[in-house]
Amino acid sequence: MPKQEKKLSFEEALAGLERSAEILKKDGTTLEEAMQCFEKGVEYYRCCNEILNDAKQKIEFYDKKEA
Amino acid sequence: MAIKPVKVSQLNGYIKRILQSDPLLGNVSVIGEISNLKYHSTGHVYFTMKDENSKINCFLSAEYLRDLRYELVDGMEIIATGYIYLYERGGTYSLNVREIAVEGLGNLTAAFEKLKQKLAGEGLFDEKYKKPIPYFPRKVAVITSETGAAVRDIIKIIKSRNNIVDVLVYPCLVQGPGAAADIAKSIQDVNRLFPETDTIIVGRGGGSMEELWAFNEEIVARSIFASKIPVISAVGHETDFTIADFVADKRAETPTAAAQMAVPDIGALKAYVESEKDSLIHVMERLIKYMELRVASHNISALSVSLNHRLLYSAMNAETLIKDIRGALENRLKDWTVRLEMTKSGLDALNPRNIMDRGYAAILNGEGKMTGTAGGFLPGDDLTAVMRDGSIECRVFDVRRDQDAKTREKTEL
Repeated sequence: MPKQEKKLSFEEALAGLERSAEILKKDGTTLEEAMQCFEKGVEYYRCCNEILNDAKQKIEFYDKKEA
Repeated sequence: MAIKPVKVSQLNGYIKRILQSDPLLGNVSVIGEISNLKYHSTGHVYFTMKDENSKINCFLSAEYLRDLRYELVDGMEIIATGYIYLYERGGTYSLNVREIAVEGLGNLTAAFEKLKQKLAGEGLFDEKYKKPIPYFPRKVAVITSETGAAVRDIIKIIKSRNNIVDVLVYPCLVQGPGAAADIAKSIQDVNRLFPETDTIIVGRGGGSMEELWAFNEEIVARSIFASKIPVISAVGHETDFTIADFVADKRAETPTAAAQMAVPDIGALKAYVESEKDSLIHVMERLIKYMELRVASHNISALSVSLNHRLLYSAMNAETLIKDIRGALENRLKDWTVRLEMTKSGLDALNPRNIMDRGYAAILNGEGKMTGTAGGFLPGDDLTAVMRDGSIECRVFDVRRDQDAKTREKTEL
């Protein structure tokens, strides 16, 4: 479960979200499995969104003389 | 004015002083074509430079070879700068080369091809060494001229696609004699000072082959190869191929393309993540609807009706079976009765009582056995005559046997 003990990378979170959607689409999943999968997927989704909305871009020119 | 004869070494020593004290010969640049190129095991290079009419021996020490910006090839025209040196023992002089410049497309292409071959032979371009470019970088370092068009283009594209990734512009020279060393050092510096960098873009905008040459120098190729951080090369235009492109983990056709390659489009990613979430919800809703339908189709009254049906059916089945069994039993019974009757009438026909009814008696000997023959008796034997209504104890007076019975006995004996 992505319980945020360790921050997921965006790639991991996105892969988790895609996997959840894929498993859920498969036939023959029980309701129990589907619910778990759905919850995980939503968790991954939140994780992705958190990263995507973290717009703290820095653009800097390194000054060789100062260093 | 004649002077007295001098020794050979004296003459050569004199010529040497003249040659080497001449201000022009102490720093001269010569244009000519390379021939007889030889790399000595000591690391020094010997070759000849020539034009249509003349030639001169040249020497390039290992020390200067290291800083050389071009691979040397026989037939290539170069501008060699150095000083005239006299080798006293041989009485020969040569051009001691400190620097070589190469100009013109043909000559540069020859140098390019030679280095390309050399590095390919060493495996620097091998696919197995190519590092994947991180899909979602947090920090991209751009090694290029801080005043060039490339850096502007790269920053513009990155900002338009991505407002998360940090960009570090690491300024360096991108053309001229010192550029290659500066580029190489910058790549090393970024690896050392900013190891958290996910991707390096190294490059510059378009220009002539001479202007782009720094990216064709060995020192740059080696530093790209040594970089722990994946490197995207972005030199010039689509049609420009440099050695840096071959050794880089990924080649971008232009600096703009490099920026697109280096960072994902956050807007598109957001849309994609939303669509994945929507599909998650959609599938879940559909699943729940389906489950509801299944529950509805299995309600209790429907269940009990079907149960009743099944009970009824089973009861009917049981009844039919019982009927069948009963029928079979009756048939069997009838069968047995008929056979019993038949057996009984057969037995009746054989019942001795029936004969006794007609007046016959059964004669039993002393042991109570029916022998059925007169021959078994002797006068004085006791016998019992059993009749219909009782028996008579008798004694034999005489035994008279039929004539033919005796004969029959004889023949049997």
